[in-house]
Amino acid sequence: MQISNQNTYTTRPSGEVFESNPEIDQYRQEALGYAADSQPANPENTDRRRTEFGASTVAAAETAPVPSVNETWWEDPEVLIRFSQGTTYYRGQALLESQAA
Amino acid sequence: MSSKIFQKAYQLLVGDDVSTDWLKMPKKRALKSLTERELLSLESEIGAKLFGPVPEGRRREFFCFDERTWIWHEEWLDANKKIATSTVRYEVNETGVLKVQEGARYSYLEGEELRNFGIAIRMYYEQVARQVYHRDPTTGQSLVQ
Repeated sequence: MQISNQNTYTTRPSGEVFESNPEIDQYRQEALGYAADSQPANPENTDRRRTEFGASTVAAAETAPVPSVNETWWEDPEVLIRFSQGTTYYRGQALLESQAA
Repeated sequence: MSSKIFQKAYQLLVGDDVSTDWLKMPKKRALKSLTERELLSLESEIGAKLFGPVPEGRRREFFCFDERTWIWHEEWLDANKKIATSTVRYEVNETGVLKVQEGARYSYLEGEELRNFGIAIRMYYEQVARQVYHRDPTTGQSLVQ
C-alpha cells in the first residue's frame, strides 16, 4: 500500500502518478507558501525552537506546530512528531475531562 | 513489541463496535464519558477520508496511535468473499518514517509518499483538533464557548 493523494484509493503500490486531491493540494500549497515566506534558515533559531519545543511534551503540544523553515518540512521527524503530540495531548485532555465528569 | 502494538491497535480498531454512527457529539461536554477507543474511532473517521473517498465495500482506518506511531488499516472482501485485511504501522523516529508492514517488511518513506504522509498527518491534526476536540489547531485554545 502506498500512500497517495489520489481521489480513488487503491491498496496496491502501483506507482502510478495520482490525480491531485484538491484538499491535499490546498494544504500542500499552504505548506510550501509558508516555507517560502519564512526567513532563510537560521541554525540559531532552529536550535532555539527545538529547545523550546522539546522542553516537555505538554509544552510542546500546547504550542502551535510550526513547520520547519525548510521547504521540505515533512522530511523533519521533529515536525511530524509535533503533530502527533498535539493530537495525543488533546485526546488525553479529553479523557481526563470525561473521567472527571 | 511490534506484535503487541499491532494487537492493541487492532483491538482499538475492531472491538465490539463496528459503526460509530451512534456516537453523537453533545453540544455541551462533547467528549463526556468517551473511552480512548471511542475517541480513536472518531479521529479515524476523519483520518480515513484524508486520502480520498473510501471505495464501497472497504473499511479504512487511519489514526494516530501514539506520539510516534500512526496506523493504517483496511478491510475488504477478496475474490472468495472472505474478509481480507491490511495493517500498516508508520513509526516516526529520528531517522525518518519507518513503514512496517505485515510479514516483517520494513522500509523508510521517501519522496512523494513521505510528502503525502506528512501532509496527511498535518491535515489529520488540524481536522481532529477542530472537529473532535474543538481546539484551534494553531493556538490550542478551546473553540467551545
